[in-house]
Amino acid sequence: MKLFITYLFGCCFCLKSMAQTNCTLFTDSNCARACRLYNETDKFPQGTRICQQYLDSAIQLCPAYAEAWHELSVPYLKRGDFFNWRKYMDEAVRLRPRDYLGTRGWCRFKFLRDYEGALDDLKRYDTITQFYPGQSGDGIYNLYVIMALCERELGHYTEAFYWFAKGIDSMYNSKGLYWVGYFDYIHRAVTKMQVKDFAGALNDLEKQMTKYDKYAEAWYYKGMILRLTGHEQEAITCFKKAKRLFITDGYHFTDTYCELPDTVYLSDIEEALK
Amino acid sequence: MNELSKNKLTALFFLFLLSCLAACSQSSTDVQKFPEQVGDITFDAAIDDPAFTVCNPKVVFQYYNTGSWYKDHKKEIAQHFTSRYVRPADTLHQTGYLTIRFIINCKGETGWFRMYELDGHYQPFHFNEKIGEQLMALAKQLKGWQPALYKEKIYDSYQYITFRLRNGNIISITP
Repeated sequence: MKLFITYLFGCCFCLKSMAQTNCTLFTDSNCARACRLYNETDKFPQGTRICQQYLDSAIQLCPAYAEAWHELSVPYLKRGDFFNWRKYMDEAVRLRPRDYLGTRGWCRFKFLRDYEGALDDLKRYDTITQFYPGQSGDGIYNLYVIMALCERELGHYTEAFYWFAKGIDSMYNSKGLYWVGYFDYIHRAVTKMQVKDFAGALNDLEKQMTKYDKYAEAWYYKGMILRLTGHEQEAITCFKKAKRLFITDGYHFTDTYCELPDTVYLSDIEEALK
Repeated sequence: MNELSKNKLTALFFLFLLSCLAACSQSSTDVQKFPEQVGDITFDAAIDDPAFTVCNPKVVFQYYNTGSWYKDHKKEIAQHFTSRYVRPADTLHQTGYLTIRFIINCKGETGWFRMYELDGHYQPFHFNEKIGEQLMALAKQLKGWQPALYKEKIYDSYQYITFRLRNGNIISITP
């Protein structure tokens, strides 16, 4: 089932990252034609020659058409050609930073682990959006959580907790638990573990269990904290639960394109159980 | 019609013909601007092992089209590189992204390896050959790949591995 869901999500995202545009909004006739070409690419699989040609023609007709520049860039990103991805994506960002700077920052984090570059983009984007950057392109993360993870990976823990508070606590306080991401409490718990705040980490994992308790990662990290704080038997119980969730009746971190931060593998759990 | 008008007409005709030719040549260039699929690799007799074959060149999946061996075994694959890679001396400015892209065929064999190198600002760069050659050799050594599986049929697929390097050290491996 998990694989099926992953595959379905992957297919949707890989075939189309764009939405249909209302071409009647364009006053310039060339840009209206470009828009129609852009909408026509719905018919073609992403990254095929004909799809890229339609987008390229749209750009030739209307060079300021940021959507086409962005869409042209996407298959290069997914297929590891980051030079061409940046070539086209940078043009989309230059034309419409409010729409594409956040996406570029998120992609630099996700596909390249370019933490410094992602932070540069996302901090600028935060300002442009008047401090409401919203979600990552795949909908998984609030962009403040991405910023927190970037800071953590750079070893800047104070800054990481600052962004976590904005991405998690502020969202919870203003909009409720539904708006906290499915992985967020786990990421912050792992970050707290790294600075040896075990009580804080357990507190976040308890919140995770309230939000969603079927991720093997949550139980694995809970087990690790319990082991580190001298509660071996309870730790073993958590690792067994993590293994069961991983293999049969639960889930573990997975993504169509890239390994997620703090992913736990079955071998990690088995190692903990030895 | 006087001689001058005739000459003008002839000149206009040739101008028209030239613009048609230019348009045709432009359109032919456009056709070649993009490969059949972004990221396609084609056989190069100068560098590729002739013994490696792609089972169905018309349908080569991308790693993200199906569940992939890489995604389930990322931990071991990353360890394969990090435990064997030796940072060469004098790698102070060896910083950027080195990507190796290749095909896993329907038998789980790998081939048609290509390397793409960028500096930290995503501009073309050439890493110290001791880095590039080492990572390429390690990528070729990786065995145990499984072909892409879709609706109980196996397919060839593309995979890439990107190394983020800072002063010659591997900082991260993606995707």
